[in-house]
Amino acid sequence: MVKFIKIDEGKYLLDVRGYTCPYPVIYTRKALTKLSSGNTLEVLTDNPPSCENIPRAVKEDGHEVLSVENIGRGVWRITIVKR
Amino acid sequence: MFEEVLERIKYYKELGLNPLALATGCAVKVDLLRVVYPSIKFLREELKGLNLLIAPREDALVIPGSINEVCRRIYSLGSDKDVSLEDIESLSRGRDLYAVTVVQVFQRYADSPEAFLEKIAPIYKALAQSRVPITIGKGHSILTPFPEDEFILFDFMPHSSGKGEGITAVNNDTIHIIDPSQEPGDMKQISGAISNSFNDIFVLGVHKKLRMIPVLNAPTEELLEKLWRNAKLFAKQYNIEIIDGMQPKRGRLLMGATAIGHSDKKPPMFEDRVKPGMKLVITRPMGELAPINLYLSSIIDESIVKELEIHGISFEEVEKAKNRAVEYISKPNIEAAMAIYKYLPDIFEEFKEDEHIVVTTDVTGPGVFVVKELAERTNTKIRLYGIPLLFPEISRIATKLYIIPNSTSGTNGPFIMIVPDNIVNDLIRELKSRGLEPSVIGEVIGKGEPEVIAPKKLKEYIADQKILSQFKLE
Repeated sequence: MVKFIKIDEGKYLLDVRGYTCPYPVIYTRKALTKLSSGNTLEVLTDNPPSCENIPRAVKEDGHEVLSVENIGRGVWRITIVKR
Repeated sequence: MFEEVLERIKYYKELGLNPLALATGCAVKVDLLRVVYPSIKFLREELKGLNLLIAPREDALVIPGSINEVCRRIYSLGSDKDVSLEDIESLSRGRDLYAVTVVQVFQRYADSPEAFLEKIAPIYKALAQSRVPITIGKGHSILTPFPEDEFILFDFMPHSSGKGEGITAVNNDTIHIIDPSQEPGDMKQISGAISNSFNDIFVLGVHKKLRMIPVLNAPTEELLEKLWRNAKLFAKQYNIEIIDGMQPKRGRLLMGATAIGHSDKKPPMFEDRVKPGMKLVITRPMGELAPINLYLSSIIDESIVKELEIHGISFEEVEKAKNRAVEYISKPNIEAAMAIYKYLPDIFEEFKEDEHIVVTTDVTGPGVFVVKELAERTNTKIRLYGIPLLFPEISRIATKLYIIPNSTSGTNGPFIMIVPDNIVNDLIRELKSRGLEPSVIGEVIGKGEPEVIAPKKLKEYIADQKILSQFKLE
């Protein structure tokens, strides 16, 4: 299941590993609606197309993408700041 | 309004399946441009001079003559421990082997050619040590979110002697699911999956002596039996002979087949005969996946329903479009194959550029990008007049909301043909008489550097810049 937790003050984690397109984008957008402006969301995904689709979609919504990092075999962390 | 669908999602979960992790389209295949092609290029170099040839990319394997035997082997990925050269040689009994293959790889190994090669290279290298020449004619690579579901399947076919008996076309395609909002045992799921496997041979006008070796898997015996029952019903309906073959017996849902057909006509692969002035004809509009993905996304996120309403589309309309898309997918394109067959030269006849269809392709995962592939295959400049979509507004919204990066994508999609101008009207009449919705979508405007000029509107239907950048928009 999708994991959405607070990991620190103003910092949240969304774990969508195991999900394929288009669900990681949808869950990311949904999670961002629950955050306050300036909060950070870290998205973990193991679906390669999501590394392109998530940043593109959230930028379109006006949020800031700080980084897309490969943090292990086929796992990426996308860090987004809600604007 | 979602209760019924949520019930089904619960049912999938009871089977140990997450329907939302079953890719319907964009994510099911390993990225061809970034991962598969560079891996194959590397393997070709590595295997040079050995007994394994990986044929150039074609939609289907075309073999001169007939194929009488098919022998399936399934190996684990990442090691050569399952490959037995004695076994391969016993299949061959002195004859050259052709093969089609399916790889299901854990998605974390599908992000780079290096990682993908870690999984497949040991098997290819082991097979290359065989004393029997093996030609791998068609490979199909799909992703799984589950590491324990990985496998590679080969359908080996010893080459019987040709003797001008026509051609045999072979293709393999497998999918996880067509419509996760319906039961996996629904007839449309199997019809769509098997039709999709036959699409790449139908596109060549091949529609006789149809045979298939199903690839079926399910998490319970009961569901697996249902899939087999449905596959047999489908085979009976379209006069397809079923050949038994071993099954992966691992993983969750998997539906598809190795599809085989025979033709006494030359396939439409006359790339060097394409000339300016020839027209591009499509058998029906494209874009089946957009309403399916938009529908499923709306169920997960109700804010999408509100967004749809802002655009003047109700959820019910999306549901209706989704059901129509599934109808299209679950119908085999055999009528289109029969129409193409009519405009092909007999096996001993010369191709005539005022009588015959020149080249064909089917619209699948890459959607309208297949036109760019046509331009590359034929070294031509093509102008597209328009993008015929089944549900233009739904495709536009699905793209805008990043629900699908390329809303022209399809499964078991229509065929695009390059056709001499003087047979266009005849061909369109023929296709219409067979219940299809053909139209002329473009023309060849020059030879040389491959290029596709498309209407600017294409931007509304493709968010994936890698694909969009392949077109010159005007």
